Amino acid sequence: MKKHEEEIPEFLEELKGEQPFHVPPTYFRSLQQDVMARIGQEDAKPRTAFFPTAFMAERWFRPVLALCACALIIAMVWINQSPEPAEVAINENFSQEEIEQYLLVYLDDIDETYLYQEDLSGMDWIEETADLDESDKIWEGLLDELDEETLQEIF
Amino acid sequence: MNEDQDVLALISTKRTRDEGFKRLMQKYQERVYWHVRRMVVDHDDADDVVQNTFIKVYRGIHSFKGQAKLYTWIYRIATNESITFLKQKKRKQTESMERGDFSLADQLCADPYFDGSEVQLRLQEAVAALPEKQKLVFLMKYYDEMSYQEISEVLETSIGGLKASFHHAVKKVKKHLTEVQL
Repeated sequence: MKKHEEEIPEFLEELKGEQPFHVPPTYFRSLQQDVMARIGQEDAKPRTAFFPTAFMAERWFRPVLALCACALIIAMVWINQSPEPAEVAINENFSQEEIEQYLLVYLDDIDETYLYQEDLSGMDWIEETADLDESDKIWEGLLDELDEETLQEIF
Repeated sequence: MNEDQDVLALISTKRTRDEGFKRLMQKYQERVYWHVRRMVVDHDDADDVVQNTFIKVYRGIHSFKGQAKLYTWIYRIATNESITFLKQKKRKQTESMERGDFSLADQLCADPYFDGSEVQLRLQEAVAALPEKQKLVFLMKYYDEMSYQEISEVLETSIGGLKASFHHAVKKVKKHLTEVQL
C-alpha cells in the first residue's frame, strides 16, 4: 500500500472497488474527433480578437503593448501642447501677402487689442499702425477732425 | 526523451501539431474525463467540460514552459473548468429550486450511465455536499490516488492545508453515511 493511501479510512476503502459511473461504449474513441472538430469550427469562424491568440499568450507581448499605450499617451499630450492646428494650417497654406490682403479687407472686424497682443513683427504696415504711441497720435488726429455734431451722434 | 517531450516536440511544429495533440489526448483523456466526471457527476456535463479542457490545452500549449509536469498542467485546467462549470450550474439550480427540480440522488437514479448501489448513491451525495476545496482534495486523493505533493502542485496549496481539508472531508462523508443509516 502506498504511503498516501494509508490515511483513507477503512469504510471508504471498501467502497472503492465499485465503479458506479459508466460512459457510452465508443465515447473515448470519438472524443478526439469531437474535440478536433470543435477546434476546426472555432478556427473557421472569423476572428473577433484584435490581436492573434498566439501573440497574446507570449510573455513579452503584454509589456510591449503597455509600453506602446504609454508612448501613445505621451504623444497625444505632446501634440496637444504644439501650436493650434488652425494656426499651423494658416502658416503653411497662406503666403504673407495673402494674409496681409485678408487683413486689409477685414481689418474693421478685427479686435484692436488682438493686434497689440500678437507678434506682428513681420507685418511692417501693421506695426506702424499698431505702435502704441503712434496709435494715440492717430486717435488724437481723428478726434480733431470730428465736428461737434458727429461726436454727439456717437455718444 | 520521455513521451511527454515527444508529444510537445510534435505539437511545437505546425505540420505535426494535430498529430501531437491527438497523442496527448490519447494518453490523458481517460484520466481527465474521470477526474471531471467525479466532480460534475453527469456524463453530458463531463463531456462538455472535458472538451473545453482539451480545447484550452490545444490553444495554450505553446505557453506551457515545462515548470510543472504536463499532466499537472492539464489537470489544473480541467479542475478550473470543472469549478467554473459547477459554479454556473449552482447559480442555475438556485434559480430552479423554486420550481422543485430533482435532487442529486434523483438525477443519479435517472442517469443511464450510473448504476451504483445505495451506498454509492449516498457517497456521491456526501461528496457533492462538500465545500469546493474539500471536495477537490477528497476526489484527488480518494479516487485518483494522488499524493499530497501532486495535489499541492495542481491546486497550488500547502500540504498542511490539504491534509486538513482531507481530514474534514472524510469526517463529513462518514457523518453523512452514518446519518442515512447505511
